[in-house]
Amino acid sequence: MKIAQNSSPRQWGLALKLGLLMLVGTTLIFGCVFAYNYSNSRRLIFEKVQENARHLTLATLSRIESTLIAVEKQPLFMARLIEEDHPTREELLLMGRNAVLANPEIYGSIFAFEPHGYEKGKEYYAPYHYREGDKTKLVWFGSADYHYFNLDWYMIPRELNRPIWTEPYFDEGGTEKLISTFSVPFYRQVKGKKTFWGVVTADIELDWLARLVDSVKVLKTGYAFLISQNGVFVTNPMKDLVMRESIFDRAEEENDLELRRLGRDMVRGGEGFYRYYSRYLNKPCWMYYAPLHTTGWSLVVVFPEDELFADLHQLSRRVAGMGALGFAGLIFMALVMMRRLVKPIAWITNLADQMASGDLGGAMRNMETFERDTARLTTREYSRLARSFISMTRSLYALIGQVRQSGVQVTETSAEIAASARQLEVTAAEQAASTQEVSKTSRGISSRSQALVTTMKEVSAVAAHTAELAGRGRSGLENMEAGMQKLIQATSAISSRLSAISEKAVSIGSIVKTINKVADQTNLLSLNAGIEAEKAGEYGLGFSVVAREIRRLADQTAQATKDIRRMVDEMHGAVSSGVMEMDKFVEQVRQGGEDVSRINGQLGEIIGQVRCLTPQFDAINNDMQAQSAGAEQISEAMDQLSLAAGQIKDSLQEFNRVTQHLNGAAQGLAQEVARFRVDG
Amino acid sequence: MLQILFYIGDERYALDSRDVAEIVPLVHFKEIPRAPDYVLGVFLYRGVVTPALDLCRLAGKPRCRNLMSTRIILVHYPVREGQTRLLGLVAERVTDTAYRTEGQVASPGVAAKDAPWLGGVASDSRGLIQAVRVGQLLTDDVRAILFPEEGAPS
Repeated sequence: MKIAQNSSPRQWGLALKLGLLMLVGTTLIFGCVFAYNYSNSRRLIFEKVQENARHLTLATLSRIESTLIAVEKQPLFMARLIEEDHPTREELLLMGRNAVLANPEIYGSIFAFEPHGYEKGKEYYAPYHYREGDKTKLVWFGSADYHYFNLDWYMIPRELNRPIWTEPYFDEGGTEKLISTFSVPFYRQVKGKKTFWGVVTADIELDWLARLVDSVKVLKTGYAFLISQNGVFVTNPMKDLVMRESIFDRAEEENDLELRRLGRDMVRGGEGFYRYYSRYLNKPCWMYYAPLHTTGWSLVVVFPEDELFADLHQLSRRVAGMGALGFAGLIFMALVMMRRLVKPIAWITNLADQMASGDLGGAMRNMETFERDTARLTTREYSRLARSFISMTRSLYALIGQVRQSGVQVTETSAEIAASARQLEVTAAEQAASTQEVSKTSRGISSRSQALVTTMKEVSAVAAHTAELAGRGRSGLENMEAGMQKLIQATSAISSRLSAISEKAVSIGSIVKTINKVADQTNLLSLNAGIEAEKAGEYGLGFSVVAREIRRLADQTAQATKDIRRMVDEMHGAVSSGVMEMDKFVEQVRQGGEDVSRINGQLGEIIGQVRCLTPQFDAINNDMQAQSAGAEQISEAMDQLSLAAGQIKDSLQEFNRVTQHLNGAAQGLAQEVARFRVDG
Repeated sequence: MLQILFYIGDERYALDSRDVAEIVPLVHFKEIPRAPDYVLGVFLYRGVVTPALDLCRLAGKPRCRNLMSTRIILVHYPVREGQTRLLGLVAERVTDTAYRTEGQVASPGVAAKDAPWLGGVASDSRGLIQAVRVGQLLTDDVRAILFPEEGAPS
């Protein structure tokens, strides 16, 4: 919708606001009605359900009860018969058999007499008939192992002197079935006094009862069960519980105090309707319990809660669905109404928006459509608003047209003045700029000349330093050259001495050779002397010793000369290689000397050239300084000129600013007016 | 008994000093053509032309080297009963003598058929020394070449 077009996000449309208000109100009312309806229906339905449950339970009870009363009649009748007729043995057996055959509910029947009661000397007399298929069977009860006198069905009626239903039990004596017995005492007159004589019973099979209770259908998954006077389960869909556990065991096991209280109420013969959690169905349930007056047992009927309240839930769903449908219709109608209510306002708003944005021409063109649309309005307030809006728009359109024309004239005049002033200012600025340019250039020349002078001074200093260093290097080289000359002389002396040693070694060699020869001769001489001495026999003995000694000396001499010779050879070799090394060294030293001399010469040349440079540097330096001073003077003159030009420029700028101000005012007016496009 | 010791190759041999006349340095020999290679030739000893043998060659080894200790041993070679002629024997390292009794010389044990001049063997700390028999040095035909005027030996 267009109405919300120019609003900030927090401002909601009128239609939305009204719609929301209506929706909230309706929702609240509907919610209240629904809640009231639900709780009321729930209460009514619950009451009805409880009534139904009670009826169902009592109906079931009366079915069971009628059967049990039918069972009770038979032993009561038989007891009266025995007390009054004292039947014979055959009559008694026939009666028992017929009682079982005639009553399908009765499973078995017994006549049990006091010890020695029926016949003197016969301690036990207890014929028991029970059903097997279509026929009956007879068992005689009573033996040393089976004292029926102490059993419940015999003992309790004797003590209480009235008929009773026993607790369910397994009949160990005969049939091994789970049964419950209705036991009626009968009496005889002994010495004018009524004395207990025995009991007659009717047994019912609990399977039969369980079938009966289980056949009770409660809703979809509900069920019923029976508990005995002690709270023991007589029937239960959970077969494990039957005759094994009591309702109190369950309460103990689940730690449910409420269930225990209910159990006590049931055993007392109470009646009630309670909510509890069923372990069997695993969901919350309601139970209705009522006593079975004949046996003192209680029937409990269990109703699953969800099924009990199924109708209520269905009703609630329907009501909610209808509510939602109505709600949707309501929203639709509200939206339609809102649109119609808001539409004229939207029209006016659109037109006003168009005017605010300056499109007066567009607004005037749309005016005709608007007039046609608003003519159809049925609301008096809206049509008055539309008429006044139309006349206001027309007046505004005329006014803006006039203002606009005046503004254009003012703007043109002011623009012309501004243009002339700007022209003048530009010229002044150019002049100032040129002057500044010249000044800057001459200052640059001056500073560069100064820098050059400094550099020249530095170069001059460096050249002087170089000349000094070269001079120092040269004196060092001269010293070196002298040292080299001395070295050459010394090595020559060593070389010549080595040569002398070498010659001496050669002469030693020849002397050694001579000595060697002499030693050889001596050896030969001594050999021959030895031979001669041998020939001289005894006289030559002393001579022979002398000859031997001489030979030994000669041998030693030869050995010694051999050593000398070896040493002299080694010395000769060493000296020769020494001489060679020396020659090489002398050559290198000589080479070094030459290099030093050459470097010395080159250094001398450098020094000479550097010395020549210095006076030239001084001349250049002087010229440079003169140039720098001249440039500085030019720069100063130019600065003054530039200052003057700047002042002119400032004045012009001031003028220009004033003109611009005027122009700005005129343009501002024009702009304001231009917003309203009259031509469109 | 004094023995003159010398070397043939690396082995030591000995001559009885009674057979030795003198030991002299090596000289130049005049060759005798067509003589066996161990005959070095002849030389003048105190005016007498004397033949000389190279013991190294005689023993089947290379010629004796020309060393300072390679000398000529002049021996009395028996040519006839009671008569001897001088014969030069060139050997290496003729520089030493040794005293030996007859009992210290053992039989050689083996006898080379072509070298009947090898005699008994003695030993000292440096090894074995074999004696050389002067009388057996020359075969008949060589003796005929060297001493032709003496005729056949007795």
